[in-house]
This record gives sequence, structure tokens and C-alpha cells, in this order.
Amino acid sequence: MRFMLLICGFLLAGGAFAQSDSKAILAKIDAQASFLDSDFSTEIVMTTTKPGEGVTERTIALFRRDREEKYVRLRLKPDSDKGKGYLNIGNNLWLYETVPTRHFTVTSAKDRFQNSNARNSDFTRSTFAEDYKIVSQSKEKLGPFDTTVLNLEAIHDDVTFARTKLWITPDNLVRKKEDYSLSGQLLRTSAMPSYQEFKGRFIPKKVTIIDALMGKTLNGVFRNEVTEYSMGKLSTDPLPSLIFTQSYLEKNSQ
Amino acid sequence: MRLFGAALLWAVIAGSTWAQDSTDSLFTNPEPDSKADTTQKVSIDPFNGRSINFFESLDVQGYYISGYRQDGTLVNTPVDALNFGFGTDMRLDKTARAYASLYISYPTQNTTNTYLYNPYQPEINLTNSTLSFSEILVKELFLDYSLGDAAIFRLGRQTLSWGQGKIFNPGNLVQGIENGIAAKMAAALGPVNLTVVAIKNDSQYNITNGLALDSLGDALLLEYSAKMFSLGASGFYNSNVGGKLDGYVKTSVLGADVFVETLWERGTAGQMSTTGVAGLYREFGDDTKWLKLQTEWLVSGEGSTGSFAVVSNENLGFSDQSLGVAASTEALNFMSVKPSVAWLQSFADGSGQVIFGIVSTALPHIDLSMALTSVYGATGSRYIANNPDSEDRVWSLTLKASFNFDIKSSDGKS
Repeated sequence: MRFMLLICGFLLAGGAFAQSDSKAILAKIDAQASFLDSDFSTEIVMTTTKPGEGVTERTIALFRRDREEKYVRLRLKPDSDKGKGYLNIGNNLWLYETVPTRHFTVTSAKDRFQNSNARNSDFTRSTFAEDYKIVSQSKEKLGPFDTTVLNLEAIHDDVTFARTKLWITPDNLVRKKEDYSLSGQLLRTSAMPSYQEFKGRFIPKKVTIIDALMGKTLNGVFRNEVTEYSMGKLSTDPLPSLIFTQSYLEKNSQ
Repeated sequence: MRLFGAALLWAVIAGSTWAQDSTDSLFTNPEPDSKADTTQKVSIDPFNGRSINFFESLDVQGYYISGYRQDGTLVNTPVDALNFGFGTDMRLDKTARAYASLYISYPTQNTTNTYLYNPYQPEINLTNSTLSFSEILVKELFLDYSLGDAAIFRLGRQTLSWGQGKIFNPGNLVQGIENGIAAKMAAALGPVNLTVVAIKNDSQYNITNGLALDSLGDALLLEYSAKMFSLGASGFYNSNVGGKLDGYVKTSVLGADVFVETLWERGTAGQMSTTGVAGLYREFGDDTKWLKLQTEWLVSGEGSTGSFAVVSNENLGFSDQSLGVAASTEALNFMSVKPSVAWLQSFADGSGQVIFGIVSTALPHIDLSMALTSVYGATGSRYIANNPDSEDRVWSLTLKASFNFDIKSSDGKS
């Protein structure tokens, strides 16, 4: 009996250690891409290719105040959409619409961003340590990179993807990411082969997202929808608090 | 045999994975990591130069409504409507903007607002049978001014809506602003957002001598949002009708957006009432939302006649309770078809309405829709008395086709 209790004690202690170890590993990944000590702004140039439908191009201004979980995305191009914006505070997401009347709609942060393959949650700070636990890990070669592959499971419902798989290089940068539904269906694959260092953090030079579900069969072959985006004009200059309000979106709407 | 089956299964699984994932080529010779270019930064003012935009829209609608009144009379109504909107959006620099949105409609209509759960809105004017267009009407006409990064002002005719309810919205303390003129200021006080509005709308506030400053309806809203919660408090006062105080909490529970809102009202004769509304919104489905569900519960002390008045004039002690449920699905998006259902029920008198709707957007610029509506209850009950159908049908089928387009042009280029 004592032996069984001892075994259980070891298992529980091992589990607790694994959990805290998991959190520490994910926190290091989060730290590489979060700006908790300053504001952050960038310009995102995004293209979405839909097989048989052509290519859509957009330019978006992204303003982040990670420490308060406040985010604003404002469309800059095309001109017809200029000024349309999203405000994200914590779990709240407001979209300002002008048709048929001026009003704010609350949409899900899990939703697709502007009919692309990116999700609204792609443009907020990295929160793997708060949202996921590591359930398994392995080593894998990814092109020239020696990576640790982490299989993650969400620890609460307020995440975009129930399961995620990360390919991490020793510098704690995510080079590849696969997102899955709760049932294990692959939803999309993201690749971030190269990073740019900025004020001690690392921002992907280009993100390529291949949607596993959306696409079209052309000439007998299924072609996936693909979204690519790059981030430039990086800055950590302080931003006015007025940016992170509904009135800022209203002012810039057309 | 078992081995062959397993091999076949592996081949299928592996094959599908390879077919879906083609990011590997991006890692064959990746660009090395490097320092970021820090010579440029994105402007917080997307409109920082002089610009002028023109816009036009045309909305042509044809309805056919067929249904029965409570006494069994069959009423069929063909209706056509046309709305032509036009306007300009001028920006002088990043601080100043002038905006005008005007429209002409046929037949003459009192409102251009649309209501989510009511296929009869905007209200159809059946009395005007001759070919008669409205005068040029003002939808919006305002001036914006930004005082540096401190505050944003808007002056003129404008639209604005407060309150958390989508089905019942007693917390909209600025109701009627779209039919008057108003001055609004928005500012950020640390983490709190402040909005102050002064509304001039004499008919809304039953004012006959409208020159005095106290004819204005004054409203203030404070909002604070953090990770899990969004909190708000607002107030309204007009010397002729009385005052209101409103507070709400919004959060997320098990993937659903949940809110609770309470409203206290005090009329000029001292009558008081309290109204509460609670609601939840939940989407089901990972990628395609197979169900979007909205539910709201209204507990009102205002009575059936006061709930939508500027300030209530009676207190029925919370006897007036109503339930609203609305649901829609994206499961048929691949066919460009969107079905929805809405049910409103008043428990005070047992009346209610149910609307099944389906909209097809398969054709460019053209929406085809069908709505099946049932309004039920005793004579004089809330939904019978306030039947959204001006012909008082209690069972009806609406078929509607609408053609619409919008055009914008910037500095003369479309």
C-alpha cells in the first residue's frame, strides 16, 4: 500500500514538474514575440491567393499595447477599404461598420481576418504559456534547422485552435506551426523560416499560411488557399491611448 | 490482409498530409535572420492629407407580402421601393473632416434604418400610391475635429447607438440621435473611454420651445475593458422628460459572450422604474459556424407601453418579462444561402412573433429573400398591438428581391 502511495506521489510530482516545465518553455517562446514594456506598431502587407479566383492584396496598420492586451488593425489599402478597423481589448473584439448604418459589431476573435487565411488572433501578442500545455515533444530536422517539435493542447476554450504543433529552433523561435481542431483535423499550416531582430524581439520577415480546408480543385488537383504577409515599418514609439478606442475607428471610417 | 489494410491506411493518411502541407519548400534555402530596418514607422493617421471622396448608392426593392389578419382576411401586398443615396467625405488634414450623406426615396419613407429581426423595416408606406419621390433628405451631415491626441469631436446630424442588447436594447440612452443634431466628444482617460453627447431633438423630448439650452438631451458614457471583462456606466438627462442611469458588465463564459445590463429611470413627475436585460451570444463550429445563437431576457418595470419610450411613465413591478432568441447558420454558405430564425415572446401577455428567414446572395448585386412570419397573442397584447406589419397580418409570407450597388470615387477617380 505504502509502495503504491509512493508511486502515486512520484507520478504526481512528475506531472507537476512537467506542467511547470511546459509553462517555462512556452513562456520563453512568448517572450521572443511580445512587447510588454512598450507599445508596438507595424505595417503588414498581405496577399491571399484563392485558386481560380486570383490574388487579393491588402495593407494593414497594426497598433499593439501588449501589456493591456489592446490591439487595433486599420486597413490602409485598397483605397476602397481605407480606414476600416478592428479594436481588440482582451477577449472583446469590435468591428466598425458603416453599412447599412454606422455601428459596432462584436465579432469572434477566432474568426478569419478579412476573408483571408489569417485569424484575428494572429495579430495579438503570443500567449502560448497562458493558453496551452505541452503534451509531447520530439526532435526533427526542418530544412537547415534542428527543431524541437511541441504538441500542444489548449487548457481553456478561449483559444482559436484546440490543438497546435510547433517547430521550435534553439533560439526559441517558432519556425513552423500546424493548427488543428479538437477532433484532430488539420486546419492550417504556417511557416516562418526567417526572422528580423527588433529591439531584442523577433518578428517574422514573412509568414506563409496554407489553409488545409479552404481551396478549390483545379484540373483534378486540390489547390489550397494561401495567405502570405510581411511586417515592416516596425516601431516601439509610445502610441496615444486614444488609438485604442472605438472613437478612433469611427474617426477613420469612410 | 490486415497488414495490407494497415499499409493502405498509412498511405492514405500520409498522402493526404503531404498533399496539404507544402511549406517544406520554404525551408530548403531560407533567408538568414537579420536586423530589422528601423528607418520608417507607420503613421497613426491614415488620412493625413487633403482628400475628397464622392459616393453613390442605389437600392431597388420589390416585395410581395401575402398573409392573413387575425379575423381571417387574406391581404396581398405588392410593394416596390427605391432609395438613391449620395454624398461626399472631405478631409482637410488629419484634424478636420466634413461628411454629408443624403438620399431620395420612393415611396416616401420616414426612416432608412433597418431592423435585424423585422422584415417590415424600413416601414413600408402604402398610402402613397402615386409615383412620388421624397425631397432630398439628410441621413448624416457632420464635422469631425481631432484635438491632437486628446479628444475627437463630432458636430451635426450623426448616428450612434449605446447599449449591449441586440434584440432588446433599453440601454440605448442616445435613441433618436439620428433624427436630430448632436455634439459628441470622445476621449481616453487613462484606461477609461469617455463619450459625452448633447442631443437636440425636440420631438423626441416633447419640447415646444426649443431655444433654451435645457432642451438638450445630455448623455455620458464611461467604458473600461480588460482581459475578461468589459464594464460600462452611462447616464442621460433632459429637463422635460427626466433621467436615466445604466450600467453593464460583459464577459466570456465557456466560449459565449455574456452580458448583464441594468437601467434606472426617473421621470419628471418622480415616477421610477428599473429594467434589466441579460444576454448571451455563442458561435458553434471550428471554421464554418454551423450555429450562431443569440438569446436575451428582458425584465422590465416599465409596462408594455413604456419599454421603448424615452423615459417610462409607469411602473408595473417587473411583471413585464420577455425572451428573445435568434439563430443563424453558415453551414449553407457554399450555396450562398443564409437561413435564420428569430423568436420574441412577451410573458406578461403571452404574445410574440416568430420569423423564419432565408437570404440568397448567389447573384451579384441581387439579394433574394423569403420570410415566414407569425405574430400571435390576444387582441391588444404587445405584439398584436405593435404588429410590425402595417397591414396587421398575423401569418404572412414575404418574398423580396433587392438590387443594390455602391460606388466610391476618390479625387475624381473611381
